[in-house]
Amino acid sequence: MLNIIATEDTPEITFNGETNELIISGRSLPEDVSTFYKPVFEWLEGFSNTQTPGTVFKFKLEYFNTASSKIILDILMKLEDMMESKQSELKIEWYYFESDDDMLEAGEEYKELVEIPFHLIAC
Amino acid sequence: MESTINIYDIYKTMSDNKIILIYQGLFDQAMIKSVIAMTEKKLIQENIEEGLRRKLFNVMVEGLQNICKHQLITNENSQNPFLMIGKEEAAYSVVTGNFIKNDKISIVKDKIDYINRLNKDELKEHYKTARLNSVISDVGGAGLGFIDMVRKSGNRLDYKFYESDIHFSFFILHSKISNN
Repeated sequence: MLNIIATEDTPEITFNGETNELIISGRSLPEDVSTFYKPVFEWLEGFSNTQTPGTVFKFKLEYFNTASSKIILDILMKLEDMMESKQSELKIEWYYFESDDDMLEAGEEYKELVEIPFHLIAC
Repeated sequence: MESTINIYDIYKTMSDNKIILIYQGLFDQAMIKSVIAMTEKKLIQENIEEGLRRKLFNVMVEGLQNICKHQLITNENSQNPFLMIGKEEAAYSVVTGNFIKNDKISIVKDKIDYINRLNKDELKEHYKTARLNSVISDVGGAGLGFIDMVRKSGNRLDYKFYESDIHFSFFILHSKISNN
């Protein structure tokens, strides 16, 4: 389990290794993205060594800055490696507010870049 | 109350020019969070539509974090960065000012000029390529701030450099956010 509580400028992280549901939600504009996301990558590294059938990674972000945008890409690349090396089932769900065209477009851009089932979900 | 500055003049200038906020001082994450919270509150009070608020939020974060990461830390208070948020007709403006070393001017200028020449689709491609190639810097930036500001605001960046002395210039960056 990895649980990080949301703040004004960092998202909530809820990674559940039992249900295989991994969620990042809220706003991401930390002062130092590398430090904030370090435990996320460490957890994913450990998770990638276990059996992970039917993993769902949910992005429920309402805002992220450009540095976080790079980190999200790194997370997706990491997930893609995990999927390829273990041939495990994995899917991405990208949630966006129906009125938020920029967040939809951001999801579409990521979707084009990775070979993982990627679902864009309006809410 | 006696003062060398006329407060009423400042007040008039701000209200006539629809200036919401002026700040001069060091930029840090705590300052950014409070400025954003204050501006958002004001926009909600003014019933500004959510899409426009979101765009303004976006541009402010990038503009302010840019300064936060690149400001010169000197002992001279007069060299502190500057922020102004205002309204011009239907558009909101985010104007930042900070001192930069003269030998850095051409790098910044070339970067903005290049981005300003791109159309919407080219900007999208440029952003995607730049993000793939970007490495998070020591100060925590991805080098994508200017592109994102143009993409989100839908407007080109205006800028100006005022030479202060042989070493430094004051760099003003103006982003307009309109509902389109």
